Amino acid sequence: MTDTKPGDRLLQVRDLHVDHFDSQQGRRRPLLNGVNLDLEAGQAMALVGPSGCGKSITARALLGLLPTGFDWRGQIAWKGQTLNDPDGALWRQARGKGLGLILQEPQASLNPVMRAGDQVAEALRLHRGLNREEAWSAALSLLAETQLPDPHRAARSFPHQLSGGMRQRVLLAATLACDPDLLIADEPTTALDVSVQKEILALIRRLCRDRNMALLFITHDLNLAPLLTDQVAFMSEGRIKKVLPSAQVPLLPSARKPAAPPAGKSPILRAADVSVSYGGSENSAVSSVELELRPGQAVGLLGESGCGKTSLGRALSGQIALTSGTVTLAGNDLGKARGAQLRTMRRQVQMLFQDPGGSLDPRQRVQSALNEASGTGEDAAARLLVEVGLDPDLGRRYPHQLSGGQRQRVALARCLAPSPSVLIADEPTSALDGEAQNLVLSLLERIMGQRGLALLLISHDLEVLQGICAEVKVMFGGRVVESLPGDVPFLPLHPYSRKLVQALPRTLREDMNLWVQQDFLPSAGPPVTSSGCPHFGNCPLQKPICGKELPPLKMVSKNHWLRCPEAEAEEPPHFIDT
Amino acid sequence: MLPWLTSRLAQSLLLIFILVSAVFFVVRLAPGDPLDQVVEEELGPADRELMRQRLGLDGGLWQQYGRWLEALAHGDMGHSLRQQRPVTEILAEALGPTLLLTLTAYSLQLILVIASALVMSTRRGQPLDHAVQGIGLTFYSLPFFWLSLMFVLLFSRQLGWFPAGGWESPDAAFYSLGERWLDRLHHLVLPATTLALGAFMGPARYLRAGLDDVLAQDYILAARARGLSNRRVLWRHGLRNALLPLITLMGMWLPNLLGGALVVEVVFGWPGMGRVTIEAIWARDYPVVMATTLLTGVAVVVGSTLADLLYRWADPRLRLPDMADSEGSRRDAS
Ligand code: SF4
Repeated sequence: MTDTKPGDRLLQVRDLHVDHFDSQQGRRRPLLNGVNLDLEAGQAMALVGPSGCGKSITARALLGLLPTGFDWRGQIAWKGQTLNDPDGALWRQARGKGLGLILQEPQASLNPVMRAGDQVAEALRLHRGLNREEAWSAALSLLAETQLPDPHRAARSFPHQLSGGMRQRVLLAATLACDPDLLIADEPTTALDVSVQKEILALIRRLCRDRNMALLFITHDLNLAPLLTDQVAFMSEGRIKKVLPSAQVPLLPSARKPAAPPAGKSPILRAADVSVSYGGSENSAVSSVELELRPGQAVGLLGESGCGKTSLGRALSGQIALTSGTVTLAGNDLGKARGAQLRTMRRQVQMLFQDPGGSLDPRQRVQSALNEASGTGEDAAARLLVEVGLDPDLGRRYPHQLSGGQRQRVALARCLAPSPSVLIADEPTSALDGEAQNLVLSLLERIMGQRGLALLLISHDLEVLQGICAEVKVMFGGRVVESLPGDVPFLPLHPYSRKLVQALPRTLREDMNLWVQQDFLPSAGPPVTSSGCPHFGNCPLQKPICGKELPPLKMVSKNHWLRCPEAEAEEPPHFIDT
Repeated sequence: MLPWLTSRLAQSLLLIFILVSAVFFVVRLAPGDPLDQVVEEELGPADRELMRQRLGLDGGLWQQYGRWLEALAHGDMGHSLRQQRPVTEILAEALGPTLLLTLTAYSLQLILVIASALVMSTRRGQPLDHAVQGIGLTFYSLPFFWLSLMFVLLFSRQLGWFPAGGWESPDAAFYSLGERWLDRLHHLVLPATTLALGAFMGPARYLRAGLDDVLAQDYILAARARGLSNRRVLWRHGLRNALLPLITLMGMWLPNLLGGALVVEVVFGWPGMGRVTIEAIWARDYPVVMATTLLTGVAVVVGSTLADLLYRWADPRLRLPDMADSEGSRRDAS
């Protein structure tokens, strides 16, 4: 589709420097220190590095779209032509005709007040000179090319009416409208569920092959990088440190070790037959969940968005009302408590959220937030900060003066301030990158042991749960479909759990065939019927009976419960040891 | 959409009803007999009673309230005590000039707001940005009466470009229709400009902040990465989104402009609602005061209702439901 032949030189970057001028502090901060990069037509390269290493800045510099306050120098040549004109006409030409960009947050990358089809058609009209109708039908065929299940409907929708995966497909289609020779994908799947991530990655890979499109794939995930690319460039401190052929990139070992086996303490929090539904709808967000949390132990909830894990967490902490069932805390029914008793019980169950920035008051100093939360009147801030491994001097700062990882640890300290017995952590590491993620996780594990805290860890990411959680419950369509030890290796039997595990970058790297053969169609959501197995309709093992009767949660071996009669006899999947 | 619309309109009607009642009770419960302000003291008791009846001041408070509501429902706002003619007649005369003035000023203001916000946002930190801000803030911080007086002094007394007051020339009755409107426009320039200039900087700074926010969004980056021109990105993707929150603000601004118009109308001798109100207050012509208060209140309600409607129409996120499905981005609440 592109007019380039394999082997043509597309992009040549020499000694690229980018500085950021901070006008408040009046000093210059170097972000890129001499990046060299070559890309040929049809070549796929990954740019990997921790956050702050300059990989996104590189992408923006290549497109000539650095934010104000950023200067660059060096040489960038596109198809042999040096891009250096000050008014940016050459850049704009290159962007429209050769360089495409897709970004991390598909919600934020689409104009919220423009129909999806119009956003694709806009670029078509501009670059191919099509009229309104031609552009619209060309947009429809691009949307079909990105495997949207119903292009006509998607084209007429506004972004908020589409799911994350569909938005990313729309963005891809809009980018393809320019018929790019090089696609720059900046963390394109980081905000998506694992199974959607797999579909989008497979789609990008196929589009690159079909269109002979080169790819610059930017990611922080070392296991993801080699999946799409021929070469992986490692970046740190504003430089490319080394470039390896993808086949030689080692599989990043999991940092987690096997979790301690469940000990026989009696549960502090017990949920029996808990259901939650919103706005009187008959589809429950959570249906009949049983759960026990024991002091000094962690239970993991694993599931993708919409599975009900967040609703369950909120219900357990008493933030939303149950539709049915009971939650008891140290033998007292949370639903029956009133007044002072309810307030004490609420203090006993604390919640830690994904976004630490949003849960801290930006105008309150850290120490005053901590002292307020401890409620004892004494100065508890310093002690709490030390407990979460922070310098007590940080207490004088405001939240925005902290890094993301520090903020999350402050949020954790605030949860600990009222000396709770239960901590519910909802995606506590999803907003953090590699190192900060591990820090927060090991901190959680240590504090859980020291304080004898009962921990409920909610995540979409198996690797977050593995090694900490004695028990992992897999949720789908509001129900627990499987419950098993969070061991390494993780050996689930339920077809949905297995699909999740197989979509993990780690598994995909293990067995490249696994995903190359997959179809690219997005999976349908859980069925609307309330009877029957929630996985019915997507399940490779399904029998007609599955749609009518909900299978019970049955014990298949010690500490392993399964809600699928068909999978009981299956062999556990082949899965990596680390 | 329809249930929302019905409930929103019902809400506005309820507000207007409360407003009507409040205006009635505040005026009637004020100390003193309103009759004293109208009739001479030496009037005999029998005549007083007659007068009282004619003015609708007889009977209990609730009776009077009922009569006032009934009359209002028939479009009767009572008689002016000073001018001895129906209030509606006075208002009808004043409404035209006021609408002409405020709507012109409003449109002018909107243009100034958008233009200056665009300049401030795209020329951020450059001399043009500072110039626009300096001028705008100066006008913004000057009181309307002072600004009006200065404009009259400069453009009318000194330079003689525009008439100093009134909304048409004394001999306007002899003009042809076209000439008459040209004459009115000529009279309109100074008061409308005063109103627009005096108030545009508030919303403009608000819009500029919104625009800065929007321009930092990923979809702007993505649109530019698709090779769209800067102008198209700014207007179609940037301004279109930044204007959304401004709708609410401008809806609330409409009545504010009426308040500004009050002063400006008096200074420029513009025969509108503002002047009627002020004159009525001086003369304690309470049926007129009640009527104009009511009208201003209604303008507030109508302004905010219109703004809500417009916002809903302009923002598909409010108009159309989310699609419920499970395949979503992780940040969606589950
Ligand atoms: S019960 Fe049936 S539909 Fe559900 S997971 Fe098992 S085989 Fe699939």
